[in-house]
Amino acid sequence: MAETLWTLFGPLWHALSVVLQWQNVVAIVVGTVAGMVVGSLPGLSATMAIAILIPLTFTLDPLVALGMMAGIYNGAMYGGAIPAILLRIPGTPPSIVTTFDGYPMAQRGQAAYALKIACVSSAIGGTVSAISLMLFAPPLAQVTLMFGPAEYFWVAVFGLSSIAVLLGADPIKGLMSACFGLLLGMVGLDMVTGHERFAFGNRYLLDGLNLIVVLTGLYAIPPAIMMAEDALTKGLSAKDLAIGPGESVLANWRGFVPAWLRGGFFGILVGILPGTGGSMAAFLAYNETKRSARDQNSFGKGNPVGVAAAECGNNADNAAAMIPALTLGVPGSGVSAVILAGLLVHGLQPGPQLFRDNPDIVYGFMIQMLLTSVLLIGFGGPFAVRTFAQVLRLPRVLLAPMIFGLAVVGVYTLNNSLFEVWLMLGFGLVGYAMDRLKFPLAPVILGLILGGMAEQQLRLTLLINLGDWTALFRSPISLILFGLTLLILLWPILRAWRDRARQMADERG
Amino acid sequence: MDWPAPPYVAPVLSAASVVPAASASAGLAYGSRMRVVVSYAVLEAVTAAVLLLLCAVLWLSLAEVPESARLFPQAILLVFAVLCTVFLARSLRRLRHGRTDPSGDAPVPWRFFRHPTRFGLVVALLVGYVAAVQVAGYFSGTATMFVALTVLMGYRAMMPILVSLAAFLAFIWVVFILAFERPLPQEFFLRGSLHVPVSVETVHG
Repeated sequence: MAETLWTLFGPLWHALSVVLQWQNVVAIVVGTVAGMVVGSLPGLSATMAIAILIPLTFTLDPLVALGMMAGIYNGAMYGGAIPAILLRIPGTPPSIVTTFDGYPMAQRGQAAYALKIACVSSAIGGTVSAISLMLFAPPLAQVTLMFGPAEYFWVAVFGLSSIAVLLGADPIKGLMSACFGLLLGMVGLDMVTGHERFAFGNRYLLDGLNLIVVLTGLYAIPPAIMMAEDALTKGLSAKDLAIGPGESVLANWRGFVPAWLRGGFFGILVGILPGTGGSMAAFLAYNETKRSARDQNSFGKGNPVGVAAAECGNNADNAAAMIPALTLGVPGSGVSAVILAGLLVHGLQPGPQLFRDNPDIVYGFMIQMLLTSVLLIGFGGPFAVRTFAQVLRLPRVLLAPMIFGLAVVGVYTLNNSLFEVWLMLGFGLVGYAMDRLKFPLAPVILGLILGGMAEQQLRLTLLINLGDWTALFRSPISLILFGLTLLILLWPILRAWRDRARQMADERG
Repeated sequence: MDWPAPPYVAPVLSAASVVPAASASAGLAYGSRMRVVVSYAVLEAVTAAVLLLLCAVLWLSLAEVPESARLFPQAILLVFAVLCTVFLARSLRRLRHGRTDPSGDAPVPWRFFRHPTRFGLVVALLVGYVAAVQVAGYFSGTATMFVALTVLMGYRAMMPILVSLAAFLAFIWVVFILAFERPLPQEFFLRGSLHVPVSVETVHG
């Protein structure tokens, strides 16, 4: 028993010494601060920041790159609370829930207290989430050793279906995005027969589409175009960012514990489930805390516990979303899909082999998720508002050309190819159209990542079983995954039937 | 979410109310500023039709590919085409019921571009920017785009523009040239110099 536990968790101790090397420490500090800055700027997201960062980290050690990504992820999720509390503008989508009580608190002169609560709650949520990643990912990676090609095919199909159906408001658009991503993944030469598919004779496309080119185009260009379209030539004034000293969270910690417990629980649960995200975790934690509170009427009017529940919930989702990403290659959220792309770019393939061949990197990343959560206490709160958040005073029209410049240099340096820069620009326009027509972007990236895996495993299954399709449904694991996929795909129809039945019952009653 | 818009986001919200609701529900209409407004449902229907056409083109392009290599793409194309058809039918049904907005709940005006003129300018600038990087070099092209974009978008304070530009270019130089030693498209005024990293175009395949 002890030996098994040591086999599973022993590499964590070894990875700790690697993580504490100065380069990695600098990376997580820089990443956390950059994440807070990005998160505090409405319109910019952690996904966009990581997408831009990936090309910048090519020549870096993978753990240094992952440290920066971990910092940006946790930092941005907290940073969104700053404009949410001070201005009622959510910096990131999940911080909408923080505005409910954070802004009323700021209105009655408790901005600093609200920021401290958000900071401590985010740190607690992120820490609990990182611990869950350390506890659940290694055993789950061992379980995946039982998987064969058919099971991996169904894992890819299940992951893609769940992200496509559950991530956005419209399942049809989600599935269309996923198909689009899958087709993009097939551009280039077929690895088995050597025939070109969807390349239309273009020699630049024979190697396939570079994941980073598509990622940068879809995630970095559209928000920058919208920022330029909005043409906001005035930043915030110093008065907007002026805050007083505020109360201590430690003095009132007992009152926040139930909210932190709920936030932690819902965050981890939502994070592990593919296709859901931080917004849902924050909403669930907030609603459940409100429902069980004695003074329900005070929620939405500046109840500090509401801020604690929302922020703890949205940060508790972060590391947990990496559990399916690291073990199965199926990310639990849009941001984790981009981090997964970052892993692939550094030549790291998710799954049990990642835990076996690169333990320092995978366990080191888990520790980095933990450390960057703890760092929020040191760099967040009123300190962040007085220092990093001053970037909000910059006119946002100045940020758009910087994003364009970074995107171009990042993509160009991948292969010194201007063709890929043009391609990125094209994907930027596609991303803009998709955003305006409310097509989710994450399924495209996931389709691009998982498409190759799904096709390869399908062909392998058919090859091993001499073209017998029933081989896809032979093992119990395959059947379970197939059943789950079917359930996910039918879920919108079942929900519509249920709603109609309720409506009819109400009309009769 | 139903809160009063702070001044910070005011330009976005006011821009959306230019065209009267009645004109937008007609599908294709002209607003008070003579801007063509295509409703959400019309654009959805057009998107579905274009994607269906794309599916057909992609399907035909696989004709010469061996069966083992075209099996998976054809399966995906089939699913994609079915989804596009459902999407098209839904959009047409919404149009028939006069529901043209994104949520389908009320006939409120919706516009594809946040600001069409600025969008056109930004895209033109971006195309010019990539061409300029190719012709004049990365730093020259970026400096031109930076100044042109901010000035065209209405920000005329030259000192903050130049300070931000200098800081940004210094950052790029330190990270990409000094630290990572990555070659960037060479500046037009430095061509022929042996001391500057030279751009290399790679050919795939």
